[in-house]
Amino acid sequence: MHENLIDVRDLKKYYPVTGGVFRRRIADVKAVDGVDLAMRKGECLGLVGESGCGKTTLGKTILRLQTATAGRIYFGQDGGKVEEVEAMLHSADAQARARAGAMLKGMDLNRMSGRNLLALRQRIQIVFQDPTNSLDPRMLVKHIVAEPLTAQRLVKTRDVDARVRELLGIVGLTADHLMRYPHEFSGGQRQRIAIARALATNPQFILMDEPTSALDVSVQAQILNLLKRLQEEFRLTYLFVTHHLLVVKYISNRIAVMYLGRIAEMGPTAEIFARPLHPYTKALLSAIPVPDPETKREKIILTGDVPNPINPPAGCRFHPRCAHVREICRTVEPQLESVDGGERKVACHRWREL
Amino acid sequence: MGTLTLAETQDLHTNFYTFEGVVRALNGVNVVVQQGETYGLVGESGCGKSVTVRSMMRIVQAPGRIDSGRIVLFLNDQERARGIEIVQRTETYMESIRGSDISMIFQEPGAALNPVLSVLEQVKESYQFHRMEQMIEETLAAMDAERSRRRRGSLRGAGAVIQAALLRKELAATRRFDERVRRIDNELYQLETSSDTRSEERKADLNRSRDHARPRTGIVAVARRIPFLRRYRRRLDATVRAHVVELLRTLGIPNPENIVQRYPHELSGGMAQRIVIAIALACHPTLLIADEPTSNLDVTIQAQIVELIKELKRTIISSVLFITHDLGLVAEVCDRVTVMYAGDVSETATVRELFRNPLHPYAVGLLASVPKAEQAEELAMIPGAVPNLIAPPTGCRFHPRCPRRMDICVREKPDTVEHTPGHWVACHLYTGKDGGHA
Repeated sequence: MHENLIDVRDLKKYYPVTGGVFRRRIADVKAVDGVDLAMRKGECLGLVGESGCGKTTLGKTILRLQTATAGRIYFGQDGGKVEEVEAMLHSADAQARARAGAMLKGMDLNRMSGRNLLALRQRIQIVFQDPTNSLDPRMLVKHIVAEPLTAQRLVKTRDVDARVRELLGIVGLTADHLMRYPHEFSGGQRQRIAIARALATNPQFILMDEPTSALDVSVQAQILNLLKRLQEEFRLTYLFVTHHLLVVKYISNRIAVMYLGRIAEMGPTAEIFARPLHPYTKALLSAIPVPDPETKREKIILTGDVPNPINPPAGCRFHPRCAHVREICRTVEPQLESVDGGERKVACHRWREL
Repeated sequence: MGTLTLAETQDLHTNFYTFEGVVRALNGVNVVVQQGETYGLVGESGCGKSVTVRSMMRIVQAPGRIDSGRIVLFLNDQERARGIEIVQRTETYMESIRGSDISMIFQEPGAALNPVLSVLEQVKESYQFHRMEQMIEETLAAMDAERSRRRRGSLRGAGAVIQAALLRKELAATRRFDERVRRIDNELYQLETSSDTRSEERKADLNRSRDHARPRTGIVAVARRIPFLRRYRRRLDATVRAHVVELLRTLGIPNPENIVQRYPHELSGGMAQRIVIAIALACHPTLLIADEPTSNLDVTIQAQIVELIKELKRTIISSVLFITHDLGLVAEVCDRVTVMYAGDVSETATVRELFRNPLHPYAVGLLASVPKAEQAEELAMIPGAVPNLIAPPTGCRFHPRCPRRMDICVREKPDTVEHTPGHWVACHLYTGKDGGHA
């Protein structure tokens, strides 16, 4: 537990829906609804799920681009201390809970502010989905990549240029590209610029929000290989959000499958692909088109769409689309439980039988 | 399986005349869709897949233009001999086959549907445009059945008699119109191959009269303007609506009576895509063109849509032209496939053959760069990016990125050769012209 870089506990993010004459809050979109997630240093955790399941919101909340409604995010905290605070928070003693609340101010990313938060922002970065929209069209490449350096005052003004050149070199661009605007680049090159910008502050953790979904296959391969190389070189930790399962399989060590704001299943990549336990994971995996005409597999075709997160189904959130539904699934919400006592976890009432 | 051709393009050049220059989007594209097959068109964005099929539908938008080449359709037995060349045909002719004989599923259901029209209004258009005769006949039959059930002489019966009379008038007008158009089309078809001045003039005449042909409805046109008499249309609308609901039901849309009243923004992505498919399928086309039908959908929804298209292929449609950039989908759906690159056809083969034995260096690179289910080693990649088609590379358009480039590749566009039976490739490695390695 001591090597966890990020420890997310019971994270919730609700967006209010207002209505009526006074624009009162009448409901919540429960985008993320109680997620526990731990990431180790140097690993790549793939977060998969359909659109609208809350994977991007979860990522952005961990980065504090969105402030969570509830829950704790520990970043780079000592594991023992985290456990201690968590124990105090859940203790029956009101005084202990109050003390834990005070301690959280300095530990919980969600409660930090000012200088602490700014310092932490250095260590967490993001690469967005569509590089066309995430790069300012009026800024030169050198200013785009230098922006985090100047904002965080990390290097002296006269050293900025050298550092920008170095960063461009790392992602496979040259000094010729410095004085150009984003529109002069192809999609793959733009994504390289975005990656260089994310690397500028020497982060420990980078959130990859579908970094290759806007790219063509041949370019996607280039970017994936680059990301893999960078991860080894700089000992980076990635949270890789995507809906493309074969990409996740290629790049991640572990996978978390999300469905409607909660984690349905998580575990090491190879194990999940070899032996999916949750019916949703099974359907998801069987739906991947495999680029090989010789293998014809039996597909599990799910009916219907992802339900509305304003009013998620009672019990197991997947039950209206699940083929193995039982009475208990309709009423009791399954908790994420460990399968083998280790990190393989699943939230399903019937995983043992299926 | 027979190998009857259904549609083919011959040396198609489509260019876009933009401010920056002429974008040479298609550089002599030859594709052949056979009857009864699912034919795939793969390639990266900007390789001309969409432009190819848009040319085949003749819906290339300005500033684009089909500059040369032929597109030949073999839609029925009579035309089997040499097919209809559609680049020269008029827009009204295209309107009569679009949606009826060939139809298209567009990429983005959000953009393909009109946000201010309900689902019913959008789907029923095809029936009203192409199947009017059938609709009126069915309405009349329904009214006959109803009258025989009712007592004679009731006042409502009298209204029904007037309505039926008007419908019959309209039916006759529609039939006369269809007959006239059919005659013109036949004559045009006879004249297609001859090109002396007299027949050219006759062709121009025929095209003009086809463009201006309208069903002559006479009294019906007057009746449509009178509120009380206009009611006969309601009967017709009910028939069309029943057809739409039935169609949606066969496409596996739950609760179609309710869905037809909704507007596109009320539908989820998968549902909206099903509506787009419904519009394309309304008249049971011979050729269905699916332009990246699943590119913005989730994998589970994608699986539903793909399964639906496969099912429809078995039951309703003859051939499917399936465009995608996802090689996984190609492997799953298609029989034969063409790989395109920068406006050129690189390679055409059966799916099995292409995946087992790709010949063109681009096809080889493309297949290697896709993450597989068992991906052990590092992903292979193709260096560089797709070229700008305003100033495309000389010779083979792939040469700047090609790992096996030779001198000749820079100078000459490779011919397409049949390497093994049914496996066509356009690459100097296989044309027999040796240029020596660069």
